Amino acid sequence: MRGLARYLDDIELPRMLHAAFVRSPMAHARVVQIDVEEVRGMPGVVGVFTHGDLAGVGPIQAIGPRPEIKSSLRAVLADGKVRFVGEAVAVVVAESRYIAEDACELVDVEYEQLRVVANARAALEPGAPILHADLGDNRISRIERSGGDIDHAFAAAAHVVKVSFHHGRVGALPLETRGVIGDWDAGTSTMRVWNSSQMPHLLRALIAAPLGLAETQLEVMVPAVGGAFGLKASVYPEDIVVPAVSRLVGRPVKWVEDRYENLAASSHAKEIDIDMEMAVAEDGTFLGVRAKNLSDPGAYSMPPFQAHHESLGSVNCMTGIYDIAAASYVAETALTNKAPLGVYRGVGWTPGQTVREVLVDDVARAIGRDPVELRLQNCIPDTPYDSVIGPRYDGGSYRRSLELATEMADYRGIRERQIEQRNQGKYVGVGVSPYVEPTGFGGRIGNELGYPGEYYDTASISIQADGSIYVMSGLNSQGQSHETTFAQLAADGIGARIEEVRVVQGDTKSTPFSAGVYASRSALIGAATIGRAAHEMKRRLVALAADMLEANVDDVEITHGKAFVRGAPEVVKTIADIAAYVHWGGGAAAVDLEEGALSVSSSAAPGGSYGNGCVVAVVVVDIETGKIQVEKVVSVEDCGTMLNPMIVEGQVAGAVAQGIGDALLEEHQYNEDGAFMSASLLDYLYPSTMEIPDIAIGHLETPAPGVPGGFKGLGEAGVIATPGAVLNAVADALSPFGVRVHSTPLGPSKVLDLIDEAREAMSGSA
Amino acid sequence: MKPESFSFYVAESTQHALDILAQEGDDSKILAGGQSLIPLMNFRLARPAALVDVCHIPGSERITVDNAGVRFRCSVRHRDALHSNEVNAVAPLVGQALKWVGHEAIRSRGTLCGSTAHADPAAELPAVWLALGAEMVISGPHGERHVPAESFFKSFFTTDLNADEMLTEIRVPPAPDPSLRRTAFQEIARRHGDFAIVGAAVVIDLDGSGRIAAARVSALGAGEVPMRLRSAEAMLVGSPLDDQELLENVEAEVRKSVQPPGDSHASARYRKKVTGTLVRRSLAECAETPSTYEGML
Ligand SMILES: Cc1cc2nc3c(=O)[nH]c(=O)nc-3n(C[C@H](O)[C@H](O)[C@H](O)COP(=O)(O)OP(=O)(O)OC[C@H]3O[C@@H](n4cnc5c(N)ncnc54)[C@H](O)[C@@H]3O)c2cc1C
Repeated sequence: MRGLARYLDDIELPRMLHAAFVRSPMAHARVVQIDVEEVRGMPGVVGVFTHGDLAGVGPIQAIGPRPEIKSSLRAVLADGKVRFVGEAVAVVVAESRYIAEDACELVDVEYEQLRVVANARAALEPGAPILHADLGDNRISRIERSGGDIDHAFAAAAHVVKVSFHHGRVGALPLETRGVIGDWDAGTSTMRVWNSSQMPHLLRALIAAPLGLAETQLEVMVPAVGGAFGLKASVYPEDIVVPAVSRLVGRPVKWVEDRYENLAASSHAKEIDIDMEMAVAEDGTFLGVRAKNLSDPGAYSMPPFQAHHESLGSVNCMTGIYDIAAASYVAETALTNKAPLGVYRGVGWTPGQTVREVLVDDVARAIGRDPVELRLQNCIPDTPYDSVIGPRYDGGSYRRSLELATEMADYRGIRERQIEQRNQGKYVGVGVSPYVEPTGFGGRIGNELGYPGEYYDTASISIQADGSIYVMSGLNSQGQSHETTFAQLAADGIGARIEEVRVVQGDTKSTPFSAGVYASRSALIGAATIGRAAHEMKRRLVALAADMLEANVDDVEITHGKAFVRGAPEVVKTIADIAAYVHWGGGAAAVDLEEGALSVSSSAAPGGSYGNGCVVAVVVVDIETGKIQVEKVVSVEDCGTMLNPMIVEGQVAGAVAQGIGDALLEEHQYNEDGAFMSASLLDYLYPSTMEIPDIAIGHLETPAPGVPGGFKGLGEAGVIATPGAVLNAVADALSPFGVRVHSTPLGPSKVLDLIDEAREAMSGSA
Repeated sequence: MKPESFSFYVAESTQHALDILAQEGDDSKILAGGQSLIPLMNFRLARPAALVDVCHIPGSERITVDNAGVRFRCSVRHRDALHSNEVNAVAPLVGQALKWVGHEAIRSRGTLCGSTAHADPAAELPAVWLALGAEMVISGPHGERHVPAESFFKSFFTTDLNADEMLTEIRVPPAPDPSLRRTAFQEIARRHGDFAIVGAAVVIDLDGSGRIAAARVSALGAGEVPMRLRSAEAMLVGSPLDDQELLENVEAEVRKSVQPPGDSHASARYRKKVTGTLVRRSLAECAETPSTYEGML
């Protein structure tokens, strides 16, 4: 971290203007009239635009990917109605951001307040105001599925244990907020866009039509990105408005989201109510699991992941690592007057995993079993396993990771000390959360979620005349170190030195198509596409070297950038020699090669793979103040073959930290009137280093069978599994009081309430 | 998130600062460390027309420790007080509390006087001044006046300061016998470095026989201003510090006596209960160890 990266806000273009948005202070209102007269004459103001001024621009279309999800439209500036606090109503373009913000205050918007839909339950009540009249009602999706004989499972159960869980509304909170620069080049009818996106090609595909441009007229460039975590994998109004106004004023326009806009008006995540119940046999065998959920996606469906992603994601792996013969779910989503939900790391799987693992602990307590033993009893084998509810796991270390994580955490020792510590007034708890998650969102995993279509990515490699190597990938890094891992993949595949490899990313003009960086795709897709291209490049280099060395192709080897005849390593041709031979010597003509000998493009569509692992958390709860101290987190992950252990560990640590934030601190709050209560970082609390304990990481490697190199994704696991471990640890610490933990986040005030309620319930029943 | 435009002055002396305030009128504000004022301006919740930076007034960064106690001049930064051995020797409560204030970066800009003038009800220092019986030195167009901490804090973010006045110094009186003084500070925050949900500051002076000769107990986050908990103090005087039953009675008394507000971080009920707990724990801490500043957390 030396401050040398160039982010979007570092870009200065000649004649560039600055945009600021007028945003709705109302949760739900009709826009009666917008008066911009006072602004037009302001010195430094170049333009002010409302929906009416942007004829032919937009709307954002959220279509598919399943018939149960209603398609919907979103105007890029409020079209007669605002539906959440922070929604963009007008945009001012001025010589500086200061002037633009001054001008925004003078835009006079007259609102007529409408009744507010404050949460998803209210959205479904008869007579609730309907957010989008053309959708008929607020229920934007309802998806059902069942597998096995669920009725029989519950009929045969000796115990049925149920939870009603609320997962709070959180946000991804990247250090660098979103940002867009639009620069219309009227001479060539080209729109150049800089956007802090995690999916440049997909963004181009989705904003081209709203801007009325062909994809070839639109260049999307992504400079260094300071974190994204899924927040930058949706299409937002500003992505379209900023380029559109650049075209209108004929000058480049920059907009960098400020923290208020980021908190209020980009996207939130993970808000959902889940009811889940487990049918359990006398001996503790899990017979069946049933879930019904209702997600609150806010006011709009955001492409490409739409509004249902949280509700469907949360039930996708609902049987987890357990061998359960019957399962069923109903996954619903109902629109409300809040900011839209985006896809934050661990989309859907975070609440789904949390609720299931909390339920398993509740079952263990209800039937008097140790939660780890109960899990091991019900654990699936480590071989590939078809779950009854859709996912087909391709093999992992489901049992071993649970065993290893509990060993590393000294689970037995904690249990032994726990009683004595309680007697001394110290409430220590331990919680486990074994997980299995789909990674490398490819065709197979998509199909298992009921999505049609395959996913298709391409990478290319070219070698320059001096032997230095370009890897061009549409998978752009937001801090995940693709510069290292992709270079490593190419160098290993080619037999080149990693120092010679330069990774080019984040530019739709120079990099081949990729669907983007999300859903733990990069390792799998990078390995498949770059690996294939590197393999082909090696074949060509070997053929050229054989020609130069007057040897047989089968006898030539290439490693660390040098080609030689096997057994005679003293005579070498470096990759630079070979490149010069091709580029300058015309020597390549002697070899039968495809045109463009040292330029290769390869495509691949790996189906994806299931990663797994287990998180264990140890907490101490101060029962007088409700303060929770996370003492230790152990994370054992199995991401198949590890591409780079240092980067794997970085991913684990960051995700565990976000998981702790999710469990204990973070929440976007609205009041009953739809007012937004978390408008600054005084109110939206993310974990700092002081809240994160030492994280012990254990590695297991079960190579993915269908993926070149055997890689699996892992970047999301910590956010998926950590909250369940932390909540289980808190409930364990407070088990003497009979506390059950059924919501996030768990602040100290709530902890004391839970203790008081449990005490009252106990004394009431005694 | 940009402030409205404003004019900016750098004061060369206290008088210069006062002159500018007088000349610019009600819309002018003093700028100290800027750690509270600048965010408010960026949110446009504060829109001063003029700022007067007082951090370059010669000598304003001085801390004086002598037999009249400790004097913090107007631009003493949190970190300077926190790391001053002299301050920690005679008034360890200041350091005990300051380590809870924000983070290193905030403490190296924020000032004691700025925090005091800002008067956030959940800030640490105002409660410390109450517990130490500190005095505020205020300069204005009509000269200087001295206001005890207890009458300085009026309500949420409101003090006895007028718009044309400046807090030039905070004076902490010396302990009657430093070797018999015990102090403690405890708080609960959502995260380390956040403003407290609630907290307590305690100053106990023992007599020669180990009984409590004088007690000053204050709470933060428990109301719209930091407050002395006089009924609790009264219960303590004359008793030994290590009387467990007494501490529990004090805890109950504190819970009865405070009427805190609730917000998104904690309910009113929570604050009431935990204020009591923290007072009890602070007193227990005083009983356990002579107060010294034990370094950063
Ligand atoms: C992230 C963060 C975390 C923080 N955490 C804490 C915390 O845990 N506890 C805590 O107590 N504080 C916390 N603070 C606030 C910090 O302590 C501030 O420094 C302090 O509140 C204000 O001091 P300042 O010197 O920055 O004053 P400024 O921000 O410059 O001024 C604050 C107000 O006081 C007025 N003022 C300043 N000096 C004088 C003077 N000499 N005479 C009259 N009026 C004056 C100003 O006009 C203004 O109205 C935090 C701040 C940040 C940014």
